[in-house]
Amino acid sequence: MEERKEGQESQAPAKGGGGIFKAVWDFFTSLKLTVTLLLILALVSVLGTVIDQTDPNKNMQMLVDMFGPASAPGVLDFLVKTGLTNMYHSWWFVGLLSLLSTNIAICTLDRFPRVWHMVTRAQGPLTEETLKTLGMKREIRVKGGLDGFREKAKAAIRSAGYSPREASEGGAVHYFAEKGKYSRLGVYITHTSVLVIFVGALIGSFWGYKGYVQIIENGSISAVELINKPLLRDVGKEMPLGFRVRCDKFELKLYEGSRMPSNYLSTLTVIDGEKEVMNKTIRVNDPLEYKSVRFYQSSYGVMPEMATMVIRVTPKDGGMNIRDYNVKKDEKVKIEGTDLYMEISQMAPDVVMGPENKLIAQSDQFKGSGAAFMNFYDGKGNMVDQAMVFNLDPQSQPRNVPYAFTIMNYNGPYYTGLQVTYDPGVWVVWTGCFLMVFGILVAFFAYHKRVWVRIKEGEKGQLIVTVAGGANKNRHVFEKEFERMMEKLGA
Amino acid sequence: MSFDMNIKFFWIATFSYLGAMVFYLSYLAFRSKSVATVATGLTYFGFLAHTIAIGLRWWESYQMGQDIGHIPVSNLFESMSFGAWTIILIYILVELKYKNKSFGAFVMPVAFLALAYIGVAPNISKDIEPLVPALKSYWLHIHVITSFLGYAAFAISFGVSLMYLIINTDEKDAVYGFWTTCVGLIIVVLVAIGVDAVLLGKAGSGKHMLEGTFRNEAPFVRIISYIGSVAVLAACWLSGMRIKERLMSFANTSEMLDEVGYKTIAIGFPLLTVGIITGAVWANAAWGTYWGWDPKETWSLITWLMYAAYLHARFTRGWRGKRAAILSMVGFLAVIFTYLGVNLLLSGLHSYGAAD
Repeated sequence: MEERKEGQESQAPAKGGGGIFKAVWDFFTSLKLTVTLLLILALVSVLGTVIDQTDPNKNMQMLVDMFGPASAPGVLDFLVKTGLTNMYHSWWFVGLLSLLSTNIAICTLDRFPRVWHMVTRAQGPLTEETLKTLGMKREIRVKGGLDGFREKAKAAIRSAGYSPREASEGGAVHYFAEKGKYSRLGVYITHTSVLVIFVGALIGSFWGYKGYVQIIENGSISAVELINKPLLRDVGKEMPLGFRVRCDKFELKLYEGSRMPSNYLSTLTVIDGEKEVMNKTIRVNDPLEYKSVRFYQSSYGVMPEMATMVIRVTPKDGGMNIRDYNVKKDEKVKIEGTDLYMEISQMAPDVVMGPENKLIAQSDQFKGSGAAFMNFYDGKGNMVDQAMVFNLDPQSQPRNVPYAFTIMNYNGPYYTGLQVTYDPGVWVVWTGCFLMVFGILVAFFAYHKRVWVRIKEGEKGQLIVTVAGGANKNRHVFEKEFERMMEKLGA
Repeated sequence: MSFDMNIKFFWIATFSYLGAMVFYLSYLAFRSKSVATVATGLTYFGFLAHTIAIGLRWWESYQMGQDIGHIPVSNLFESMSFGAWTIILIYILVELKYKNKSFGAFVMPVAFLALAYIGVAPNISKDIEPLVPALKSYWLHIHVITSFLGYAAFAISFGVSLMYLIINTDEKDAVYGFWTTCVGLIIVVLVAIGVDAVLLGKAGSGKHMLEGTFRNEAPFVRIISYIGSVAVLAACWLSGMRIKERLMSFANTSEMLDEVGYKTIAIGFPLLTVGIITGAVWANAAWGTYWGWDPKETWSLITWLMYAAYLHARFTRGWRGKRAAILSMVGFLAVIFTYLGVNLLLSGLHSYGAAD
C-alpha cells in the first residue's frame, strides 16, 4: 500500500554509538511505542471522564454505589493519592505526555536528516541503482533519430505536468523531473506541531493566569481573584491588573415573549492611569481585551450585600391590614401601626428543602421559594423574637409576633461576573494548531513523484528508451499518469 | 403559524432510508441489479427530502424571529439529523467512486437508526428552539460541520472495516466472534428501536427509549428481549460463514476494502482535527480557556488518539489488515460515545449555559 515505503524508511538502523545509548534511542524511535502511548493516553483519559475531576468529593456517591459505604472513603482516599481525581495534572499523566513528546522529538531527529537530504538534493539522471528502487519501469525500442525523439520525450513529460531537465551521461540522454518533494516534510510538520502546542500550553500555565471578578453596575475593580494556580506566581488570592475596569451597565436580554435569555451584555470601560482608554459592550462569545488581558461575560446576579427583599406582613388574627415592605439586609423596618421592627440578617432568594430539613441555596433568582433569617425588636430596641422564614414551610414563622411573613420578591443592583484570563501562550497554541492542520493535509493528500526518460542509441538505428518513475503515495493515481505518459511516447 | 413542514420532510427521508435499507439488504441476498438500482434511487430520493428538511428548518427558524434563526445543528434532534445527512452524503460519494453497491446494506441501517431514534424518542424535542447565548457564534457552523463530516467518514470506515473482517474470516476465531457480535448487536438495536417506533407511534405516551423491549414494564417482555438478543447473536455466530460467502460474491477485494477503510479515515482525521481546533478557538472566545478537560473535549481527544494510533499502526508490520480494521471499528465506538454517550450517560457534565 501507499505508506509501505515510508514505513521501510523508518525501519532503517538508528544512529548512535551503541550500548545503552543505542538501546534508549531505539526504544524512542519505535513506532510501537507511539501506538502504545497513544492507546494508553486514550484509555486513561476515559478514567478522567468517569471520575469527577472538579471536586474529589463528588465521586463519593458513585463509590458508595460501587463499593458500599464502608469502603468508599478508603477508595476515595486512594483515588486522591494516585492523582486520579486530578488526573490531567498528575505526575504520571504529565509523564505520559513527556514520553510522547520525547518519542516525537527523537523520531524526528532520527528520520528528519535523511528526509531533508532527499528533499534538498537535486534529482540526478537515472542510475542503475535508482532504477532498482523504482516502482514503475519500462523499456521500449524506437526506430528513428535521436533528435526527433528528444522532443517527443520532453513533450510527454510536460504533458504529465512536469518541467523536465536534461543531462547527458554514460552515453545516454536523460530527461527527468519531479514534483511535490516538499510533501515529504508534511509528517514532520505535523509532529512538530504537537510539540509546539505543548510548548504553548506550558507557557500559559507558567506565565498566564485565570481569574474571576464581580463588578456591580457603576462600580469598578483593579484586581481579580485567581481561580487557578499559576506555576510562577504567588498563589495569592488577588491579582492586580494595573488598570481599572468599570461596569457601566449590565443587561439581560430575553427572547421576545419568553423567559429564555437571549444574551448577557456588560458595557465596560477601561481606565488606565486617569484616562478612559477603552469602552466596549461585551457579550457571551465576544470578550474585551486590553493589554493582553481578556474579560469574558461569565455570569451575573444580584449583589447580596445590597439586595432588598419584599416582605408581605399579614396579621395572624385574620385582620385585613396586609402590607408589603422593602427590607434591605441588616436594616430595621417599622411595621406600620405597631411598635414592632423587623430586620433580615440573612437572605436566600431561592432555596429547597434538602435531607434532614436542611435548606439548600440554589440560585440568586427569586422563584417563589425564598428564605430569610429575621429578627424582631420592640420600640426600645430589645429583641423580641427570631425566626427563619421559609415560604414553603408555614411552620417557619415567629411565635411571639402577631404577624406572618411571606417573601414576595428579591432584587437589588446587578453585578456582572467576568472571567479574566491572561495567556501569553495562546498564540503559540494557535500556531501549532495551524501547523498541525497544514501538516496533516500535506501528509495525507500531497505526495512526491519522480519520472525519468533515458535514451540510448542501440544497434540498427534503434533507440533504447528506459522510462521509470515512482511515487511515495497514491500509487494507483501515479500508475495511470505513468501509463498516459507511455502512450505519448508511442509505447 | 406552525413551523413543522421540516418534520414532514424528515419523515419522508426516514422512510426512504428504511426502504433503501431493505432493498440494499435484498440486493445482498438476491444479487439482482434492478433491486440495487431501486435501493440507490431510494437513497437519492431520501437524501433530497432530507436536504429539503434541513434547509426548511433553517428557513423556518428565521420565520420564527430574526434573533431566533440559526443553522439547524443546535440540539440533539438537529445534530443527529445533520449527522445522518453527512453519512448519506459521504456514502453516495463512495458508491459513485467505487461503483459498488454492497456497502449500502451496512451504511443505511446506521442512518435509518439515527433518524428513527430521534424521530420516536419521547425525550428528544423536535421543536425549533432559540439558541442559548453560548451557542451564538460563527464558530458553531464550522465547528459542527467539520466535526460531523469527520464522524461520517469514520462511520463509513466502520462499515467497510466490518466488511473487511467478514471477508477475511477463515475460521471461527476471536475476530469472527468480534464481528458476528457487532452484526448481532446492530440487528438487536435496530429491532428494539423498530419496536419502539411501532409502539410509540400508536400510543404516543412513551417516556424512555427501548421501553418496548429492554426497559418494558413487564418483566416477561424484558426476559423475552434478552433471550431474543442472545438468539440473534447465536444466529449470527452460526450463519457468519454464509454472510461471508455472500459478501465474497460481490467482488469486494480485501485490498479495496482495506484501502477504502484507510482513505475514509484519512479524510475523517483532518476533519476531526479541524473540528477539535475550532472547538478550542470557540471555547477560548466564550470562556477564555481553549482546553478545559470537559468530558466532551476529553472524549473527542480520545477519539483523535485512537485514530492517530490507527494511522501509526498501519506503518507497523503486523498491525495492518485485521488489527487495523478492529482499531477502526473501536475508534468509531469512541466517536459514538463522544457524540451520544457523553450527553446521555455522563449526565450534567456538559452544559453550555454561560450563566444561570
